[in-house]
Amino acid sequence: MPHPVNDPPAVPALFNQTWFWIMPNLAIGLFIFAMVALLWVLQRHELEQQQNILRRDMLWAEQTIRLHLQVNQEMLAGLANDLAQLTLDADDFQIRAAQYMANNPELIDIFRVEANEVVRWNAPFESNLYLPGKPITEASSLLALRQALLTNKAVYTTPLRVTADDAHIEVYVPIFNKRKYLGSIAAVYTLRGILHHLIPLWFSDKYALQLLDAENHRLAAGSGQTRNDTALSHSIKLDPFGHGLSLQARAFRAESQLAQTMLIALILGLSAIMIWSLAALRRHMRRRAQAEDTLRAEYAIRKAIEGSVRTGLRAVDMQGRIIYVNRAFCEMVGWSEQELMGAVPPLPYWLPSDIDNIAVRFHAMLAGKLPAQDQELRFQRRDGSYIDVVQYVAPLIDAHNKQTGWMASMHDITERKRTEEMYRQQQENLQRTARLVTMGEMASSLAHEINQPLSAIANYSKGCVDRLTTDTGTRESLLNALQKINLQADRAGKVLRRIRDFVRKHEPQRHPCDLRDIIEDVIGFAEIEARAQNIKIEFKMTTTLPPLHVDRILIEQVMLNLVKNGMESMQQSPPQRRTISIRIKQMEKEFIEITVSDNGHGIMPESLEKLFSPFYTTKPDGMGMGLSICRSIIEFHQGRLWVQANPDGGSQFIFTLPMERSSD
Amino acid sequence: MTNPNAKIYIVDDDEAILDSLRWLLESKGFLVETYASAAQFLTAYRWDYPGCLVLDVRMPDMSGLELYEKLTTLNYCLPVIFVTGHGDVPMAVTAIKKGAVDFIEKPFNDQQLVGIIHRCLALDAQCRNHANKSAAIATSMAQLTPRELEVMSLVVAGRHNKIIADQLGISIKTVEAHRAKVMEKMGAKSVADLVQLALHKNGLKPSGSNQV
Repeated sequence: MPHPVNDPPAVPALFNQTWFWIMPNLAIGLFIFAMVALLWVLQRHELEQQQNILRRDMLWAEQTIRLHLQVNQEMLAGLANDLAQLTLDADDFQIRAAQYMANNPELIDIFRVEANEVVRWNAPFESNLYLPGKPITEASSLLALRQALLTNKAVYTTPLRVTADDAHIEVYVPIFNKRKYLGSIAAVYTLRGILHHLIPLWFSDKYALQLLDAENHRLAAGSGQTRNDTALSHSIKLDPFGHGLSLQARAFRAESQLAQTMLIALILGLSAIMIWSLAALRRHMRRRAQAEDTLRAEYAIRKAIEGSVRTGLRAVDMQGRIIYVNRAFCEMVGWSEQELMGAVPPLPYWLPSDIDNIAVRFHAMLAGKLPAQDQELRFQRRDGSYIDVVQYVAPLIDAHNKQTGWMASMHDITERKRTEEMYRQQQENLQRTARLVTMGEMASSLAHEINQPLSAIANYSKGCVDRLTTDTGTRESLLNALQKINLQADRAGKVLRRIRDFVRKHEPQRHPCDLRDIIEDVIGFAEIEARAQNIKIEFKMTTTLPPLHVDRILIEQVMLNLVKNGMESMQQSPPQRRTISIRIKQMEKEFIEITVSDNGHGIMPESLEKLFSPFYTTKPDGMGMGLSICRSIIEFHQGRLWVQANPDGGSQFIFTLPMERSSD
Repeated sequence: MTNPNAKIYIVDDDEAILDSLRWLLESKGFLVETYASAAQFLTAYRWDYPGCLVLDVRMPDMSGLELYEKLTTLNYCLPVIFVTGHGDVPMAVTAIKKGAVDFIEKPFNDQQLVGIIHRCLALDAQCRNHANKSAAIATSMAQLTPRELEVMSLVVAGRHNKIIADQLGISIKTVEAHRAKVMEKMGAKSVADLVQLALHKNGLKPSGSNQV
């Protein structure tokens, strides 16, 4: 049910404005930005923390390595001291060196170099790095050996790469006995060994460790190098070795990072869903706006239709309250829309004189008991004039398929009704006039008919008077004349009775009548005219009929009309053919058929249809009412009247009358 | 002056009227003949029967008016009285305009009818008299030669002999001879007589005028 106002419902203009969308878009954008920023801050914080841990761990690792190197250096210094005191022979050296190396696997070789730079002892035995008796040839080794001699300190060589994954560093500790240089004691570190044996296991689980030279080339790597998922790295110089050697650790990704990633993914996912739902919402809104546009266009069209139709529309709810009227309806009843809206029965335009009847019908409509066909109603306009309408009613169904009221459309038929009423009155008047005209014609004929016997009587009587005064008449002749007078008086009396019968005014009254009497009476009337025109009227009735239940005068009028028509149609026919024949047939015990045939000019086929309509006439001075009235009369008697061509030329008017069922 | 043989001819389709009129008129001493239709009358009547016709206007087959017209074309003397019923007066007026003597409305006053009948019989007699005279003049004129007829018509027109002679291209003497012949054949004693004869021939119709 649309809202019954004249203007289309106001639609917020926001829907079409882009800025309407900025708020949610901005909110979502900011939200996502905040989330990402938060994540980033957290991440950074985490990273920083990890970095700190890493730095601390690295310091610890460097300390550990440094400590070990110092211990080793002290052990070597001990050996050197013992050698300087000459308290250490070759065997002792072997034992102590071998023992030490067994406990400190980062050292793979310990050897003694003579002052002449030749290796003297070497431990362990099986080591073939430095064979006793061989001079030191390696440049870096020589450099370190000589620096140790010069500085009287332990000196480390630069890393010597042995494999792609390992390198050696040698440390030389000089041996002085009372300022006398006795050579050096040296040890070989394997960098791999340092990483594997000096760094505890938990450390290498957490970090990927490697040793880099000054050019950041990897010299050795710790265990766990296969794992690549490192995020943080930190390097620290290994001062004891010098030469730019550094320890680098890369932290493995922690377990907490997975959760974080998932969180990020979740946030991003949720954001995506939000954006998507926003887009979907927007799409939906756009479709809705389009639908509303269409609806509004249709509403406008409907509004225009309602405004332009001449049909009055009125809707009431289930309680009979007016919920809608259109302009045409307002114009019809003369009340404004404001006055009608919300009005409850009795409605202002109901006819006060007929209010009960209208109310009954109105409530029947509300109850859905009104018959399906259209209803004719009369309303009263505001100015008191009447309006006739024909009303069609249909249930009003809302979007949920529920009836909310009744819609009625009304056509103004006042004009039509008025015309019909006028036509009916005219018809009545014409019937009366036609009857009077017929009566007038008959009266004229009858006056002539009365004149004849009256004249005859006058003649006879004057003849008698003459004869009696002159005494010339015989008794017989006078008697004869007087009898003739009597006869003529009778004749006049009959004519007068007939007139009285005809003129007597009365409503249609059906009484049992003998059809033969009716027809003979009609022939009696018509014969005056017929004789004047030399027309023969034949009447054949073979069977006897039971009395018919008809209005005698009306049927006589019909018969007379048909006979007169027949006579008029034969004015141009040759005299020997001027015959009107009346025949009666009984049809199946239910009705009888009366045929009036003439041999006149017949009826043009194009006139056949119009023949019985009022005001149709073929006669120059005819009124066109005769046959129309005849048909009405016959139909009043439940009969039929029609015309057909006479097989012998001319036309036949046939009518039927139902027979009274005397048996029941 | 009325002819004792004159009869009253009545034509009416209504037998009662016919019979009663006969009864009435016979009581007034008229001779009456009745006919039920125009056709019957026409077969029975001859032009030289004197009398008058009482004719019903409205009749089947041939109406009174038609019969009257027929009689007029036949140049009969017989005067006609129309009898009209109610509503037929216009028809009767038409008949009078065409020269019928009179009409009388049913039911009629017998004195009036008798008066009209007498007038008609007189008219009939006069007419027949005129007719006889005309016939005699016609017989005389038939004896004239064409030249004599020419001369006569010019004399009647009032021309002098000299002018007639000039006009016809003949001598005055010859004109005078023709003129004497004409006077003799026509039985006229003077020019005035001759003029009267010529006027009778041309001006009077057997059925006459309705003024008596």
